[in-house]
Amino acid sequence: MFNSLFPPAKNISDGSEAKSDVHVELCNASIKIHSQNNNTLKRLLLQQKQNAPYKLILDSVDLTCSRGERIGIIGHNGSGKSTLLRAIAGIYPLTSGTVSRSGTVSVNMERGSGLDGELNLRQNIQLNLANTGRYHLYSQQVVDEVLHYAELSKFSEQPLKLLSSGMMARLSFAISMIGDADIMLLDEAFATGDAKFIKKSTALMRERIDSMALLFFVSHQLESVQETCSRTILMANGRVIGDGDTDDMVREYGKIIKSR
Amino acid sequence: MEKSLNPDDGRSQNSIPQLIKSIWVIGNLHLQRRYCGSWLGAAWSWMHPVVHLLVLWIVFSNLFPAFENYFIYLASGLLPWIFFSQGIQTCSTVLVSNRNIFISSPVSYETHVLGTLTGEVLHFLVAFLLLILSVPLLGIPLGWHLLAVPLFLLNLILFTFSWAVIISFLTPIYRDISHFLTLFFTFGFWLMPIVYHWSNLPPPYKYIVKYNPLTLIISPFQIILHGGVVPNPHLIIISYLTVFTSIWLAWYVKRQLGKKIIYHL
Repeated sequence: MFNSLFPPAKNISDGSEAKSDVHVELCNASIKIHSQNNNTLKRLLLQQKQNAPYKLILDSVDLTCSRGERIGIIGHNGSGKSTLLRAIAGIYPLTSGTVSRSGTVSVNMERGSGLDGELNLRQNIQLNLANTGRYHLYSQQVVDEVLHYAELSKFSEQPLKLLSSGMMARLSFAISMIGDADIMLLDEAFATGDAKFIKKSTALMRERIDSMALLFFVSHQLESVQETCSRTILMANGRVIGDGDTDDMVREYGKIIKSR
Repeated sequence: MEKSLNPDDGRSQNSIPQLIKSIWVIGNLHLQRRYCGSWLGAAWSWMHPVVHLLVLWIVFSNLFPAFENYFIYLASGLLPWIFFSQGIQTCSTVLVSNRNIFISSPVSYETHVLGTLTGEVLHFLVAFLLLILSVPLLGIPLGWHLLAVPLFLLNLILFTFSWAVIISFLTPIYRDISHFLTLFFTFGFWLMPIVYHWSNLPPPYKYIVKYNPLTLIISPFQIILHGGVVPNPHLIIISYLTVFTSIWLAWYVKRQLGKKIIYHL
């Protein structure tokens, strides 16, 4: 039933030439933004200069990741983890440096964005696919499979706003699983819903992760990172301060937390 | 295998058919969302122009009693104006209000702007078709000159698309714009020869009204439907040049701001 929606796992080490070039490479990647947005029409019309200081939200990051790697990204809030994911996805353009990427990307962050409380569930699945540039994946069969997986088939004609937050989370999760890609960028949310659905969604997420050629996983749940990733990047103030074996990096991060 | 990225802002570029489908779905669902749960549904979108039209017609047909077929003159200028002003105001906040989508997905900004405007286009086209059908009922004969209408409809839609892109890209940076637009459209309405004819004005104002860019886009509808003739080649050329300039300006603004806009959302 789910095969068209959630493709079966691919053998990562199958050595197929078409997939062998999957990689992500950042070279001296930096993003510099004004620390506050105080542009106004008055400032423009009077030709006053923007005087807010600059802030580096990504600072000279060098990173080479290739096929088969499962990479965890850890660090405090505001350390640049999500910014790094967005730079890899092409959501945040770099101020300097380069990012090169080979392979299709699935971005799994901020689940639930692109949904509308006034529309029914079927319309929301359609809208989300259009909103997130995945409309080529749309079909009635996909919609039915998403609703079935989220156990919401009988609510398909109801407005989204009438669902409980748990039901919405299930729907968001199922929608986020539509499609296939070589590189997955996963931010925090691993699984969701009630105890039964968490088990089901965790299994599906594990299957998806296994099928990915390359995974970047941002999380504060260090056990999940240790279970999933062999390599981990430790970030602070937009910089990569550690890159290596996951257990070593988690230990390093633990020392930083203790010293604060 | 290499992901196709837009060189202007790094965001994904779908194929043209996919882009058109996404724009259509966003526009269609935008309309359904706006009127879901309301008794009259989409009819509300025609209520505003109809009431606006009737009020202006009742007042100004008495002020200009000698103006023949004043209703057609008024309606053929007012409907395009309402489409333009509503379209721009609706699109001005599209990027800001869809921030969550743009920071979590590398989808192109224009898809959302054009999708939102598509809903307005559909409403406008239905209203304008009704106006064309009412022309013979009001005593103006149908003729070959009406074949020029699609040419100028395309012009108006492209012009509005261009300015929707420009304004929607500027609003996240200069947040005053959405407030300023309300004032601009209130004032701008009276700078347009919609309720009056530009020739009724004294010389300095006459030229301001006659040659403002929006007049060049909207007045051809009045010339075709009210005047019963095809606009002269001079007006057609200037009108198209205005549209091409707007398209270039929209492309330029998108190219200049495309990279930084995400940090302002």
